[in-house]
Amino acid sequence: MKITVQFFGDLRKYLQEGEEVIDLEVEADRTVSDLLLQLGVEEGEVWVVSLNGNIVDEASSLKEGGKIMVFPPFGGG
Amino acid sequence: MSYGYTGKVLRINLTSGSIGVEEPEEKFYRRYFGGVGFVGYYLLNELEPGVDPLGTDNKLIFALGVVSGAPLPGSGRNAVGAKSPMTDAFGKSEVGGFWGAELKRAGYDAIIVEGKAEKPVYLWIHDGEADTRDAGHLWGKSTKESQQAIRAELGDRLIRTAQIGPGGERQVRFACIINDLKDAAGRTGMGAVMGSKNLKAIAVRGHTAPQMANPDQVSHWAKWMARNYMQLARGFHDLGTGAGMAGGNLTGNLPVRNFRDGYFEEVDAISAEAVRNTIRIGMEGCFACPIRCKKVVEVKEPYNVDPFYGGPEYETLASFGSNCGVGDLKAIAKGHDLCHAYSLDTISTGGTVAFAMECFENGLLSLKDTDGIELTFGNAAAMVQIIEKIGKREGIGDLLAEGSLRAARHIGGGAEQFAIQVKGVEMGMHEPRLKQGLGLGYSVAAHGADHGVGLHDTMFAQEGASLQRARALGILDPIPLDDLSPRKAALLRQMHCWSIFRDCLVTCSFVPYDYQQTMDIVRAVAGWNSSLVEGMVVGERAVTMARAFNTREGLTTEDDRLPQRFFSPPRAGALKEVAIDPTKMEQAKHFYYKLMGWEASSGLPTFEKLQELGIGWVADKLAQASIRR
Repeated sequence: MKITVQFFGDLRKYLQEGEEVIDLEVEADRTVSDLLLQLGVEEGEVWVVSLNGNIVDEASSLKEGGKIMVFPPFGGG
Repeated sequence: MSYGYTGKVLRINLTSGSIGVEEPEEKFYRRYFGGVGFVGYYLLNELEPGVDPLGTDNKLIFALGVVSGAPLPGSGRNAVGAKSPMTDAFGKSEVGGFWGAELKRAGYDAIIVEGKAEKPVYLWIHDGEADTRDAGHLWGKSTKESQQAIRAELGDRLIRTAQIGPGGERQVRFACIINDLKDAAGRTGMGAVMGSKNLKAIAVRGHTAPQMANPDQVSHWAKWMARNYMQLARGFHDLGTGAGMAGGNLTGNLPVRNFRDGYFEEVDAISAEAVRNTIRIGMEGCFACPIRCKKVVEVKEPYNVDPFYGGPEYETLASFGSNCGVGDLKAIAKGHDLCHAYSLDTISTGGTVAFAMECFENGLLSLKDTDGIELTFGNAAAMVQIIEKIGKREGIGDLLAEGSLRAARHIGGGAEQFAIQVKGVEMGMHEPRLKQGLGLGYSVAAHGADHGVGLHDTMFAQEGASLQRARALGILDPIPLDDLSPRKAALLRQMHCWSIFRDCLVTCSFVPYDYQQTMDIVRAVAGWNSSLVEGMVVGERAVTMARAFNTREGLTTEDDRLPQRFFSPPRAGALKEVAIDPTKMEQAKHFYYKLMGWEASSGLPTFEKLQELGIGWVADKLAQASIRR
């Protein structure tokens, strides 16, 4: 299934040059946790993940057409 | 030979016109380090208790640190301090940009401004010399016009200025000091103090770089950051602060409508991403820094927003945005533009406007009071009008220029419940019901509800980079957000002492050197055998001096209190069933006092603690005033 992933704040280091949104094709039974592992995100770097605008925990399943947003623990000044 | 610092402090008396240079010994620098440490020393040592913050006996101190002006990212900053017209006690602020580095290059570590000039003046400090110059032709001008005029009349477009606009001149209580137009020493009303002295600006120019004890090692750290900042500070580099505001909204960190509502539908219109996509024309940086995290914006319609003033960062985006219920980014940018032109703190201005909006919605202010302006949450045009009125002290702007606490006392009828402040200083844009250790910090900090106290609980609630780094301080275990046990009080103590130590070096908290690297930088710059232990002691010393100053001014544990609002949940959002437990917060406060080595019930720094910190003289200062317990 197709999903998109956006990284925020310092997690933007996981984006490629010039990329703002990652388009991905993933297997049907993948979870948020699987996705973060696949993208090489390190343990403890993520504070909250949202799927289609709602906070989800990392054990949640991904959905077709899902928009994932990944936030670090500090945002702001 | 002094490394890092120049060994010279300028003392200027604006009443008599005298200008003198003092040369403190090395041990003075080693003990107080500079920045907020110097501010604490001079205020506690030289002010009598009970001085009028806007009177001639207050002193305004601009202080650099040992690292200021070194060829390293984050070293362009300076601290400013005085008795604050908001807290009627300790006041301090730090500011980025270039002015601090330039003052070091001009040959001085600090400037103590005393008295009051008979007519408006500005100071011109250049390569070891200092003069007072007439500023009658500058008074009333925006900071931009004034800087341009100063550079033209002194014939050097590389002159750096620290100055006030008409808001500071009119002593708006939360007026700030603007450096180089894009940076602000925002909090606690230092611009009002400057205005009360008839001091329009301090212009500096210098050509002598400070000496480094170990130039190769300093260079090593500069290069290290240049190689690593994209891994460590990518968010700041790409977007400045305010990136990921959507996350702050989802988790409830983002203040909405005077910290009342808890969720903002229009967050995507006001984030740093929105700024980049619509009004941003560039990113700029501070002295010697590759991160370049400062937004530059331009708007032509319907408001004129001048890129000379930089652009709104997170605190401003939230303060004029979600916290006023405003989703109009151009209006927020105009608010920022006005605050820089007039020299007003964007956090206190936004907090005071939000307060006024809530008063208006509750019938405590009428259309007659607001000069016919429909001052409701979300009315962006009204917000912009009110900000300008505050800068001019015009109509209702004159009342609101007193800040939310004093305005509330004047308005009466229960308005005080809508003043979201501690010790008279409006709260920073981070929700204490989420970050409860920060809430404790807001309540106990000497200078009011400043989000720069140093603890963002989310960074320590799970295993991650911050907790990894904090192992160097002996901190091993994650702590839940709403934990208010001695563990959280201890974490606040550590983080606050470290944050204040950084305000003594005056380095930037967005430049991600870790604890050990920072101390190696001190060793490389100053040639001292400094360790992390010493750094924490210096921070603790400065925190304690500020506490002692406040105690002598008559502040008590009663002043270490959060607004009632936070003991109930916000109306909506992730925290709609989360409030601070007032009993736990009260206990946490006393845990904090005890862990700081202060009297557990009152927070009074003890004789033993003052002796331990090598500032036994402070005990005599405390004995001077009658101390309420």
